[in-house]
Amino acid sequence: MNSNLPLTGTAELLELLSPFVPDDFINHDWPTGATGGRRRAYTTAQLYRVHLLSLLTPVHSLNLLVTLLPEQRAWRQFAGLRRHSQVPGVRVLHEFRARVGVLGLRQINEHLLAPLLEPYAWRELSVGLIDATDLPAACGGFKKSTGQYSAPHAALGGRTLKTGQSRCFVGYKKHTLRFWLHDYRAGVLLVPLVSWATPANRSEGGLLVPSLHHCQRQWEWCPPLVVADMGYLGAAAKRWCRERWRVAVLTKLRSDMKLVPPYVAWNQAACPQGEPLTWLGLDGRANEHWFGTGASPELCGRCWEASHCPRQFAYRPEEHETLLGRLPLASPIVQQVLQQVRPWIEPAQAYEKTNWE
Amino acid sequence: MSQVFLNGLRLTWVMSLLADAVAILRARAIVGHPPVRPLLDALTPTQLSLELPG
Repeated sequence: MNSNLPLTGTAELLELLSPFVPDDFINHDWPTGATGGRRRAYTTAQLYRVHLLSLLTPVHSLNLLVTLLPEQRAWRQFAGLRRHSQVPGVRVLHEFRARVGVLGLRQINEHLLAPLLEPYAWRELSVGLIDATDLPAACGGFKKSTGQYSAPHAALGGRTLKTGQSRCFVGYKKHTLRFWLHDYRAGVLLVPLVSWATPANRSEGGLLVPSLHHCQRQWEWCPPLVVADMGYLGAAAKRWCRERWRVAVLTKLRSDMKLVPPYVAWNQAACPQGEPLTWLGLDGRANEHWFGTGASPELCGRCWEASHCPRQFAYRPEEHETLLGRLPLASPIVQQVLQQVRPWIEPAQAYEKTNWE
Repeated sequence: MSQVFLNGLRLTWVMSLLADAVAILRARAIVGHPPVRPLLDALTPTQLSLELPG
């Protein structure tokens, strides 16, 4: 998130990013061959680059981009358009989107991601973050005749209450599973693994399993730790991720949720007599978490059950998917990840929404 | 992204994936061009953290 890259919209940034756009890959997979009639004046990579400009410049609509493109030499240079008189129109851009489609754009992203993810695949500890962001639609209103908003598939969705913002909005949500490139030490660097666009009224939790399934199918691997907010508390999805892919979905506990033994607080475990317990590990064969008293327990010497107390206790992960699950909430690693990584979710979303303007 | 003209789910999806592409391109540029640090960076004074009891 914090980088020394040039500011968005500058020609310097376009020059820096230009060599990383996979022109050969795009032109190879979507060649501009014979159409049986009209000649294609632009390569697929050129049109892809024009679309990127809508997010790398202060222009917020493709129509405005097409209008301004003849006047902006640096933008044309980035897109590989030599003459100012020859720039693609909105129809050509529409045809590009229809031709490449969502699946094609995902393939390009996966091609771009490959060298970044290679060093992290199959590592025991790597962290993903999943969250959704609001995208209000350019919507003229609600049509009574059709019972829908004027923007196709837009829906009324709720968002977290913030000062100066309404409780609801009409539009869509972008659900993104990001990955933390933790080998990069100069700052926090997150890259999106997979994104979904849905109407705003779809629940966030429903996209957790599809996101991990996509990673498994694409890379035969997914981050073993996934940090999420309260929208992903659902036990069924967590259990599925744990049993199928051995992924720990880490969320905090909602204040009104009941605790189960050995927990006495969301981040603290204790024996029935109150002696604090530490997590010893997961017995994979028996599928049990083991908790034990510390090296010098305070209460055990005076406890009436001391003579027959094993001082170690086992609990099954399915007893509570959030408190126990793949990794117990009281374990030091989960505490560290939740305290360190969880606060990055909102800034990552906010950065994506605002810093590219 | 929040200011982009989005008038359909399909366009939203396309723009979302393009936004991801920009994020990945930026990450590749950052990783490929690590921040330049002065040679004497290790010798410059830094603020010590004060560990206060919680």
